[in-house]
Order: sequence, then structure tokens, then C-alpha cells
Amino acid sequence: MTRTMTMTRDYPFPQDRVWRAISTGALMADWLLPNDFQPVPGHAFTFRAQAMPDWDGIIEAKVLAVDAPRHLAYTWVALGVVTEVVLTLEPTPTGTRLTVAQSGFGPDQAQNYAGARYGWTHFLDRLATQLEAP
Amino acid sequence: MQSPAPLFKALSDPTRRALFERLCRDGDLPVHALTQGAGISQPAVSKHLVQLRLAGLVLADPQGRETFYRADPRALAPLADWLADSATFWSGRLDALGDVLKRMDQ
Repeated sequence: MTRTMTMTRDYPFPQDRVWRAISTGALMADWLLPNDFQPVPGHAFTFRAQAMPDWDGIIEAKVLAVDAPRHLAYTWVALGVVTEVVLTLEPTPTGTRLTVAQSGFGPDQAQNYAGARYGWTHFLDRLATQLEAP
Repeated sequence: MQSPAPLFKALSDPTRRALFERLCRDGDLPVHALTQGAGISQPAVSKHLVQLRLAGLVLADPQGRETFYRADPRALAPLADWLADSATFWSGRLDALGDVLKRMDQ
């Protein structure tokens, strides 16, 4: 079971441009999801994903850290599961490396944030044991 | 991907989660055994078991005059899929980010 998802991409563009794309609400809407993001720590906002049966598609989020043009972090609460998304930029010889880490599915993080509304983090950890059992 | 929402709903109640976990841990149990230590009445336990059964998380097995309940962790599969799906989600979004970056060039 995934507890921390990490993904890295290299883009042949300068770091400032990638930063603008990942930290401007209108541009985020073009590649991520419609949102009312503001690059202000503590700002609560929503992402609007496609609705599913029994789910309105709303992802609640809150800005945790903004360190231009390097580091952006926000909480990501979907269906009561609290996770944290961290975007990190580093310059490379050919452009910019973006690393996305989403964590909090497991016990290692996220208890600090909103107490994991339903206590999911502990629960999912225990469930992982069940799912991994033969 | 099957929506995990019904599972989240069924498991959003701490009492139900505790009952489900107990069945995962202790195996087949009748209602009266589940009620012991649950901190709620037997009818309340029964109501929660109905919710867990509707979500497919708990199976009922009548044996004589008693019904034994057991957990079916296979029902958690959509939840596991949903968590694993995070990678798929971001992979698609990061492709789209590449397109946005190209367009910003113009």
C-alpha cells in the first residue's frame, strides 16, 4: 500500500517559469485542478475534481509553506483522508527538476494536520497490515 | 476505478471501525461477543453490523441459533486502489504541466 507517493519530472524550462505554473491558481487550473489557491501560508482553498457517485469531488486544502521559487506545500483532504502535497523545484543543467511528494496515507505524517479528521492515518496503517496478509 | 466512498462512509464511524478491526483480528464472532467491550448496547452493535455488511466489509454466517460475523478485508480493495491511484493521478497532471509550460513560452 502506498503511504508516500513521490514522483520526479525534468522540464526544459527555467525554474521561475515552473514556479509560476505550480503556484498561480489560474495556471494550476490548467494542469492540476480548478481551484481558488492563493500562495499565502494558512490560506484555505479547494480543488474541484470530477465528482463521482457518493463524492462531490471537492478536495479541501490549506497552504502550509511557500518558499519561492523552491518549495510549496499544502494539505490535501479528499474523502476525509488527510494527506500532504509537497512540490520541490531544483535547477538542472537543462532546466528544472520538479519533485512531487504526497504523504500521509500511512502513520508517518499528517497526524499533525487537523488530527486526520476521522483518525484515518492510524486506521489505514492497521489496514495495510490486513491487506498485506496473505 | 470503483469509488471508495461507500467504504469511507461505512468506516467513518469510530465504533464501526473498531468492530471491523476486532473482526479482522479475532475472527468469527457472534453479536453478544462483539458487544462485550464495545461500550454500546447489543442493538446498537447490530445496527453498525448492518452498515458494515452493506459495505461488504462484514459477512454474516448463521450457525444454528447464532449468527457469526466475520470481516472480509477483500472489500477494502477499492480503498487500496484509491491510494495507489495517487501515482496515476500525478503522472497525468505532470504531463499536463509540461504542456502548460510550453504554452507559457509563447
